[in-house]
Amino acid sequence: MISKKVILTGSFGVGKTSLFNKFVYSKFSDKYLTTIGVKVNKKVIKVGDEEMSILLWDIAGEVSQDKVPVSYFLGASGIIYVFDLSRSVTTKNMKEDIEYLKRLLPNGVIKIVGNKSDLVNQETIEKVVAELELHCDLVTSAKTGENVEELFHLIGEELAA
Amino acid sequence: MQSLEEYKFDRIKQSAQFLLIDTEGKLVDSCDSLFDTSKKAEEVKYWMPLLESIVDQILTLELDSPELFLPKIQAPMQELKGFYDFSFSKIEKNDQELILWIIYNNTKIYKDFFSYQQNRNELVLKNQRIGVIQSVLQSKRQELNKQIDRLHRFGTIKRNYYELISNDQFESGTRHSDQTNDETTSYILEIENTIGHLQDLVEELVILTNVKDISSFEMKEFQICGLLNQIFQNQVGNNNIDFNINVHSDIPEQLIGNYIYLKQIIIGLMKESWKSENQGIVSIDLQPVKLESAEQGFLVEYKYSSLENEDSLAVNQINGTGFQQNNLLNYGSELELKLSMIQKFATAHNGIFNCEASEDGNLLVTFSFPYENVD
Repeated sequence: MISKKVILTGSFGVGKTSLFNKFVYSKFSDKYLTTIGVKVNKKVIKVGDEEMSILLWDIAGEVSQDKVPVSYFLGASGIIYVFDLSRSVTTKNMKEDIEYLKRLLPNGVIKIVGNKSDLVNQETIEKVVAELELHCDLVTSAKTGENVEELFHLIGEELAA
Repeated sequence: MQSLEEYKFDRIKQSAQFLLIDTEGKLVDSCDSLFDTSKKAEEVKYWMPLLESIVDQILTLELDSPELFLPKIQAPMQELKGFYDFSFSKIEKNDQELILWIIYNNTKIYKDFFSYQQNRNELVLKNQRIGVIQSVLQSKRQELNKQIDRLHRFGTIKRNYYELISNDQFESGTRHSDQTNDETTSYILEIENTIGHLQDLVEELVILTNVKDISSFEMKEFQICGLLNQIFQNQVGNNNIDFNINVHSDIPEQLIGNYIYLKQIIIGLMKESWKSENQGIVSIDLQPVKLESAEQGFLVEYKYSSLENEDSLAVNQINGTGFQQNNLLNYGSELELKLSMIQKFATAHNGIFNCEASEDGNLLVTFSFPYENVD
């Protein structure tokens, strides 16, 4: 079985841990609990005819990615950069963060995800996505589960290629 | 009783676990101070997903490689439920290259840090939410004010419309079809008139509320005859009043001055003249005048005479510095306020102000108006 290390990162309070819990445990809680350092778990998904073990690192949110210990990124194949659709401040450093992450992992797959789609209407989502400096790959809701499985399948397929 | 050495040993034992791993990733030795390794799988990568994801990088460390340090790892496995720092380095022992893995138990320190970070992040999130709410409230407030203004306008238009239709030949709700177009045209004219009146009213209120602060003049370019004609045209419909305008030829048509004050003073005085039910004449005469504090100026003489009592002025003549309340017999506070405004306007530019009023409504107000030439 293939194993791939994938990192969930982004500013604090955007829903990284909620996406992590929804994907790994199929659970969601409204309560905000900050993440210290890193939590790691895994889940096996099907990519085509093959099984892939996603080793998911849920990293504590930082306003700027260069504050994250570099050792966390060691051996990573993919990065999911999460922002909050209801808080524009979480996209403020996006361009610089992605450039930094690309330098750390030149061959890594990076996906930009807007989370908390349940908190905003479609018009707002379209407006926020249109105003981003970079392309948003997916819009998710850890609360409703919208596009959560799709997100990891999307990144899994690219990692398997 | 424990010796100091034993005490030290126990404390160190609780704070860290030392393990040795071979180059194939299998456990060689462990001091088992934090968890029991005896029942664990031979290959350490199966102990926890974290190790599984970085085992290749750990096993390829060199003797001179810097220590690989991973801080603040939360609950990496069943037996380790707190917060830990992991350190990996390659060492040589008995001619064998091994990986030294140290697990530091920093649960207490990181739990304190968790409380601090939780409070800090919650505060930041709360402030961001408050900021968004405030922004939304501000926008709603502006929208509400706009709607209130619209309601006021509609209220006046509605009242005028009802007055208009009540003046027509209109009985028990039926319309005379041949009057419909005339009614509509009149209604539209009335709305336009009302909007014009409202605009004047707003400007008047703005100026009246700023009576105490005339020092900041807003100087704008305007046409003097154009302004006076506009004022008189807006008063069309008042059948009791005839109008005369006389502007001295030395006063330029285009000039720069505080036209809003001039407009509102004249409109304000004319409204006082409307209160008289008699037929009357309003004449406005502009003559050049030398002013101490301005480049150019003219004197405005506003005179209202009712045709019945043309000569009844000069009963109460007041000059320059002020007028007394008991000289404005039947007029009440609104005229006082307007004259006070004109007086302050004149005072502000060290100009001229005179006022004569009679019991039957005749009025003569003279005031200076400073202006600048248009370059």
